[in-house]
Amino acid sequence: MISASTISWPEFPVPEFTIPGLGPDSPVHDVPGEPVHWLILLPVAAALATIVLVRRSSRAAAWFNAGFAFLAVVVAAYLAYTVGQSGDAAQAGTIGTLPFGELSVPLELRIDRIQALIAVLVALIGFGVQVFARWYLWFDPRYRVFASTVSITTAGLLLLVVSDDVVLTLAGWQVLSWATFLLIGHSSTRDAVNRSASRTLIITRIADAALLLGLVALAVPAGTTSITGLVDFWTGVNPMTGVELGGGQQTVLAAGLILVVVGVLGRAAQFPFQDWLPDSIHAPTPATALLHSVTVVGAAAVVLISLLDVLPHSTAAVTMLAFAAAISTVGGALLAFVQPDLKRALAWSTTSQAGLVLGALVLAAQSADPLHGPDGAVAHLTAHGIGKALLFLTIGWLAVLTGGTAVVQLSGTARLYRSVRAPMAIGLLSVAGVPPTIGFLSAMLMIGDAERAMQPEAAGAATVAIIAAMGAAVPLTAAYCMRAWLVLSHRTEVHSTPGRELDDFFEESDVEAEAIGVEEAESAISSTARLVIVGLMIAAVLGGLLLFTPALRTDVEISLQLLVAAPLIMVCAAAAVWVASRGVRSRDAAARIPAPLALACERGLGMGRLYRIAVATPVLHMAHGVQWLDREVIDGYVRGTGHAAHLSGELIDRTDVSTSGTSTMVARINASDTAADGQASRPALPVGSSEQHGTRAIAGPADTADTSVSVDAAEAADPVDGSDVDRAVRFDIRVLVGAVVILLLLGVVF
Amino acid sequence: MDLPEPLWIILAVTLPFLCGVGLVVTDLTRRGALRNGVARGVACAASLLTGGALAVAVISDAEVDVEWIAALNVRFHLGIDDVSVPLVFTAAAAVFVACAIGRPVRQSRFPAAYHGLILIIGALGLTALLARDAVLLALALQAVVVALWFLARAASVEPAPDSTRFLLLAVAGSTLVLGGVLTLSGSAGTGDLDAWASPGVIGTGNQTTVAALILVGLATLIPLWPLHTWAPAVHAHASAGSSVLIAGVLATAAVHAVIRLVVAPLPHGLATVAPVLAAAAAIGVVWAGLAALVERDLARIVGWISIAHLSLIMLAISSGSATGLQVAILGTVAHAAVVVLLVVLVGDLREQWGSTDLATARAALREAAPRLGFAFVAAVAAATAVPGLAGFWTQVGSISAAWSPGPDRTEGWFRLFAVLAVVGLVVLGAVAARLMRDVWSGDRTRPEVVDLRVRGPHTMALLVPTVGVLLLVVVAIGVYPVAILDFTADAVDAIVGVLP
Repeated sequence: MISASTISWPEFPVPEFTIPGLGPDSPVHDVPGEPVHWLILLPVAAALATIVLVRRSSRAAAWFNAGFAFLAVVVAAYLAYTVGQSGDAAQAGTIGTLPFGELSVPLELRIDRIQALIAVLVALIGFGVQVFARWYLWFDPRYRVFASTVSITTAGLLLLVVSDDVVLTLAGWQVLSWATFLLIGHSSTRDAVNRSASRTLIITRIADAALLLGLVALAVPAGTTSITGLVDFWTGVNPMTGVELGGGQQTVLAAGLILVVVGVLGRAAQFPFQDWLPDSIHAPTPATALLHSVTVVGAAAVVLISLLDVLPHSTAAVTMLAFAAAISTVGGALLAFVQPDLKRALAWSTTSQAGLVLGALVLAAQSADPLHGPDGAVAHLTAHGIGKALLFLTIGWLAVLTGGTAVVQLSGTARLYRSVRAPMAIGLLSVAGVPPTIGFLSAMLMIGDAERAMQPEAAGAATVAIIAAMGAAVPLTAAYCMRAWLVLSHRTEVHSTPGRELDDFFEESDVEAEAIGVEEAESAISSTARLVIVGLMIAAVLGGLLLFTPALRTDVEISLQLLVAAPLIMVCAAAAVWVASRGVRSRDAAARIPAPLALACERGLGMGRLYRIAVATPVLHMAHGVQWLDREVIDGYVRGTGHAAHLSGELIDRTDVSTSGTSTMVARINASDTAADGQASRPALPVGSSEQHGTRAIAGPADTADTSVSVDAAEAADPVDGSDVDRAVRFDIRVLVGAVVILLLLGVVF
Repeated sequence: MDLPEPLWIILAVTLPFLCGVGLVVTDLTRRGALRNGVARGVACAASLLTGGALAVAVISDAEVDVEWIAALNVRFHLGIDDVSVPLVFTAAAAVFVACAIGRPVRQSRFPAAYHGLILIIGALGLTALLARDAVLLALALQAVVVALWFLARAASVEPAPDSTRFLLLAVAGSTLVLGGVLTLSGSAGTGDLDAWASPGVIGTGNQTTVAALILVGLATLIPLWPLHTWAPAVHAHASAGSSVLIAGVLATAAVHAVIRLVVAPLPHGLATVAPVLAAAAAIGVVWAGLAALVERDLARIVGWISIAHLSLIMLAISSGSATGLQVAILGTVAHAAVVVLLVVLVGDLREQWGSTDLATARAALREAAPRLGFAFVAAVAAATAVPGLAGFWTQVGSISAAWSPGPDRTEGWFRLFAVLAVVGLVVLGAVAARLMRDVWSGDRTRPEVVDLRVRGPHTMALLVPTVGVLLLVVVAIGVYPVAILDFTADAVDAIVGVLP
């Protein structure tokens, strides 16, 4: 393991001055806490300040959230710089060791080269999203809540990134679930939004639970929740180093890793959990940008990266991860091609790209070479994050201009609104992995990983699946990007018909008005929001320079054949799409696909339905079953005891000589109630009666006796009838006496 | 202060008791002498003073020990140790909350008696938590149950509440506890809990029987599956104040009693019955989650959530490790905070909606009352163990504890229970999703709901500060649990260290 040393703020020569009343011996210190703390605390502080301090002003909320997000970027960059300089990981404590008995819970943070890079990415995109959201939700009365939720999401993600403790990882991870739910459900007045939000919550809670159990299974046998500690534990006793794992421990390790993988798959929207992600496009654009660029992929990748050394110890877990990632890569790309809604297509593309990142991680885990870290995966994560953020923000901007994200609404709009051309083009190129964008470079790194993985004899089914999926992803990604671009950028009929050049006066003024309208619409975006898009564009183009910084290790060897072949395949795929789009009015190549198939693809191939039939309905049936059992069986016994108490109470009551008239009446009522069943053995309640029925049945004597007579009701019915109160009290006492009698019987039995 | 130290601990118990009795007697003899507001003020002041007296008692480490029932060798022995400190303050805070939210105006008959009863229950609950004598503890617990039944019945929101099952189960349960305790004290020759906790005092002979007896009794009070049926029912019909006391005082005292009467003196007995206890707890989590998923009544859902949390706590205790015990104590405080917050919010909604039936179309809380909605979201999030809020640690801790149980426990079974509990947690997540959809989101704005900060005729008294403080507590426990865990760590190690 990399040895860790504590890195703190540098000692700036702050001039010491004395505060009156504190004496000369109390100097003003540097910023308290470690930079890692500030990385997490800044977004949290932004959210808290917004909730507590800001009443109505969206402006103040924006300053808090975007400002603190910017500071977080600065801290992340500083951390990346210092960690890169020192080459060691920085470590810091948090709230102190949790005294959890036998389990050691140090709750520490740790940031190394890779984590620092991811932290910078997360902080940057969080900042961009905050700035963009200020414009996008300008008129939204709930902007404050939205901005603070984005801040909380960023904080959770950053905590996850820098966590070196299973508990902190779980905390960050579960914060993300709830924050994602709130972000997706932002427009909570719409039913579709609520549906997709609650589905997201349920599926991510399943992922949470799997991760919880998996991490607990890994941490508890190790006796520590420190990730460094548990990795040391599990790798320290592996067969390679001579110490054998017991059979039981091997099983525990495998089970834990499989559960972690399940959690990761759920979070990264991989097969078979992918269904919630396409629905999440109901969220406001800035939220989807954050979600798809870093939350979904980043969180999953970070957890796997921290367990990368342990992962290969369970073939089952690796194989499962590899196959799910491969299926998602190919399936996501295929579905992305077909979607009639471009935002939804981008969502499917996220599933596909996340599959690539996870696949690259599998390759990294399997290469036994300790020098090769998860650099390929992290580079692709960065490329994907920047590209997806750019695309989602731009498509959100387009949606504002055109009123929707369906192909019909977006057809030709990149030609109409010239400002979105460049961001769209660069984003799509980067996703497709065309040189010289960052996407190309990350793709090259991954290909390098793949090549290396092909070399050793140990290339198992997992490696083959991943490499096949990567190979298939190259043309498929190029195809869906090309299709989207053709849809966006083709000449609309209005502009392309040559006859229109000779239009008469009115139509010309129409065109002019439209041109003015377009200009006004385009200029409606705030300059800051536009700046975010420009910044992301620059990052997408120049991001490849990361390879030449110490942030990434780039000692990969890529064969020239692959380097040439990959772009060739992309060009071929793009050309095929172009050919297919000829003759379609909207230039939508996907229109060639038969309608029923396209419709099925739009609905995610019926996975949602499958969930409903296979999971939701049985669970609901079970829940109703539990309610019935609870009411009729478990409570039935209790009520039966209640009857017994009544009866014995009544028997005592009858023997009471001083029974008043009213009381006999009560007794008669009760007797008539019970007479049908016979005094001695009152049967159990009719099974299947409704709850109210059941309740009335047992409380029958009680209710008849004091429908208007219970203490409370008696008070209400002023003037109070003394005898009524008396009767009510007498009834209660009867129950009490009965209970005591039964208890005595029980005592005798014991 | 030159007051003798024992005075403070006596004061902490007698002050609320006497005030309570005074209020009840005043109300019953001279009706209408005390208005609702006055009664509430007196009760709040008394509960605050109780808290103060407790604080002084904790600082001065006060103890009182006088002979009480010589024949049974029962002593009136009160004292505080590190395990009971968080729980005692939890109970005291719950009593204050129950007083502070008061009673809705339209149910204000016998206001002073209502508040007096709350104080009496509080005093009895504190006695149960402070008792250093087993018989005293069991008696106080039984008294709490009976007093709670009176309160729940007399201050019901329904005209004819069905509270018989509560009385039956709870009285039966506390009687079993008393029986078990008397058996033990008879065989050990003393009822002193400190003596019980030291090894060798209680023989290993019939530990299993007695532990089972006491645990069955306490399981009804906590409540634990399958003896839980009273809880949703009582939460549904009792006033918010009664529900607060059930979650904050009765459950707290019952978990505390488990630690005092079973974990510490009967380690072997507990080890034998632990699989059954853990099974009941794990099933309880899933059971409560599933039942809440299709439950129509919001107040009953709160009851189910409470059952789920307490089941997690019992799962942690039954694991028999120090981790489990630490989690159980922290979890009990967290449970009280979260459920009391939920109860207060749901109680307010009940006042405003007129019922807690979820099948009726209501205004979306987020649209109609954003602040109330925010508090509701926070409470539901805390109930489903979102990090940063109180419930998180119960979840992580009890699963960890169950994954590696203490000595004399079958690992495989406990791992199965951990898996079951995790499944229950997923179902609870689904319950949260459902609650959010049914109560919080949507586009309806009618019928009107009065938001926090806006005082309406049907809102509870002191609702806003109470909710605010409870939110703060929930966040504080969630962010900085070390405060409580550090407090109890040594004492817990001492208790678990007794295990051979």
